[in-house]
Amino acid sequence: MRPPVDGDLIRMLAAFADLEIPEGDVEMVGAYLTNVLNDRDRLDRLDLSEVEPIVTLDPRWE
Amino acid sequence: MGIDDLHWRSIAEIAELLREGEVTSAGLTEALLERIDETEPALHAYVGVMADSARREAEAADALFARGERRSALQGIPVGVKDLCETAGFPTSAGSRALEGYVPTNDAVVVRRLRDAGAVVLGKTVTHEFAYGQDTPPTRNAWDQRCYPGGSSAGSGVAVAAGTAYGAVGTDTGGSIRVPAAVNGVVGIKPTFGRVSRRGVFPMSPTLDTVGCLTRTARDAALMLGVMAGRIDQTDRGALDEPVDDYAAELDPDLTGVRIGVERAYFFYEAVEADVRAAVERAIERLEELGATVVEVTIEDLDIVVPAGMAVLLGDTSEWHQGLLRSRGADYCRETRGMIEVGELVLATAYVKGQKARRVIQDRVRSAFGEYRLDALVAPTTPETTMPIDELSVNLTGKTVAGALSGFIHHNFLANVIGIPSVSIPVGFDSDELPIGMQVLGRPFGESMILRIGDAFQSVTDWHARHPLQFEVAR
Repeated sequence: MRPPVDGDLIRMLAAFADLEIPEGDVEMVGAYLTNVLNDRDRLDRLDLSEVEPIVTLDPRWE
Repeated sequence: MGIDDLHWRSIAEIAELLREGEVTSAGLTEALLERIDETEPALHAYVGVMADSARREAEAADALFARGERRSALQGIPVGVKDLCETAGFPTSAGSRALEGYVPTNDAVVVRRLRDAGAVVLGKTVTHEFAYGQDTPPTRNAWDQRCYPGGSSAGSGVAVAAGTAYGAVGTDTGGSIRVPAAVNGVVGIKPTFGRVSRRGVFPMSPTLDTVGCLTRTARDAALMLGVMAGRIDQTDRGALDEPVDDYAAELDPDLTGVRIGVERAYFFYEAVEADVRAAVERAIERLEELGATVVEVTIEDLDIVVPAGMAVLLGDTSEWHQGLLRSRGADYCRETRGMIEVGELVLATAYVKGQKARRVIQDRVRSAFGEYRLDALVAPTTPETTMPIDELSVNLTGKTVAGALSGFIHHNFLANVIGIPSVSIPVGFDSDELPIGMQVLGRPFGESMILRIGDAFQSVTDWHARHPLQFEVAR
């Protein structure tokens, strides 16, 4: 079970990202992050274990 | 249509008049500059008008005509350029106060290609801030000035619809060309990823961003894209090294043998407005009358298009903005800043999952095109027509399709997530006389086919020939 996204969590994550989020943005960013996490949950239902990500390295020089 | 209505003519028609010497580029440019002066108080399509350089470019084009030289179909044609594209010696702000005062020293590749082809760059069209599409710029819909103009290539859509440009450059990361095209009743093509160079264009995502154009007809889009497409040299990593088709030469009103898929579960769900659904259904019938075979198709896992794309878009965009956010954060509009801030807080694992999910979606769509032997898919460009700006639901994260912008992303993100081309064409109006768009999605580098379908449709319909005639300052 994921902890709820609240202002304290946003401030803590922002601190780890070395990012100063204006206090007036905290609630809005929390709402955005909740949506992003819900989206991630939708991706989790796929079996991606054998899938190559769409960006791959091309090591050729020419 | 008389000489006073030249601003409503197509690029193809104007090119013919220029070639025959019946009009001059200088005259056209002056007329459009006057029209911009008349319409801008109500529409705000332009963030900056380049009157002096436009007049010089028009004179240069006329000089070429006088010498019997013709570089392209766009020679002497006045066009607009989205303010996300750098223009040498002219401010480029990407719609943000954070870039106020920035004057590039070079043109973006796409601007250079247009100028080299003899086009006249009239000015910079309004973009939502850094194309993130959350802010509401003063730009107003060409058909109803109380309404949302689409985004993020808002100014490009409005300028083309209002007759203040014959065509305009746009960029599209999740519908930013096709949505303003649809809600302003014009054509907008988002080409295959890498078809047009992104060099010199402010980025959102290096694997989702696409440069394209908005015009009034599919034929004009074929002409304009033909000039814009292709990379300039081997150092241009903003474009893929693929030969450029002669799009205009491949237009054909007979669609016999063309197979077009309709995926109803994803694109024709309950929330699609009745007027939109009916107009697109009628358009599909017209395509059948033109000879196309319409096939009902099922494509699995399209419901993960938005989460996959957003997982990538958030991280990509925030990475680019990291420095600017810390030095000029207060100059961003609050909603854009919030999206950029949240992109710094998401896990790298979500980003990788998004990239893997894109591969799954690409496989599903490729398989469907193969299994059903499709040349294209068709779908409503947006689930509803435009709405009054104060009713706009602002939610770019795509959590549901209930909010207007979320619905726009639901319909448009697929083409970006897997890099395929898509063109939006006008297919009717709703009961409030607001335009309806239908998108035609093609195979990678299948621009010729989707433009052919759009042009064939326009050869038997006149939706593209209807124009907004009155512009009033919204209250």
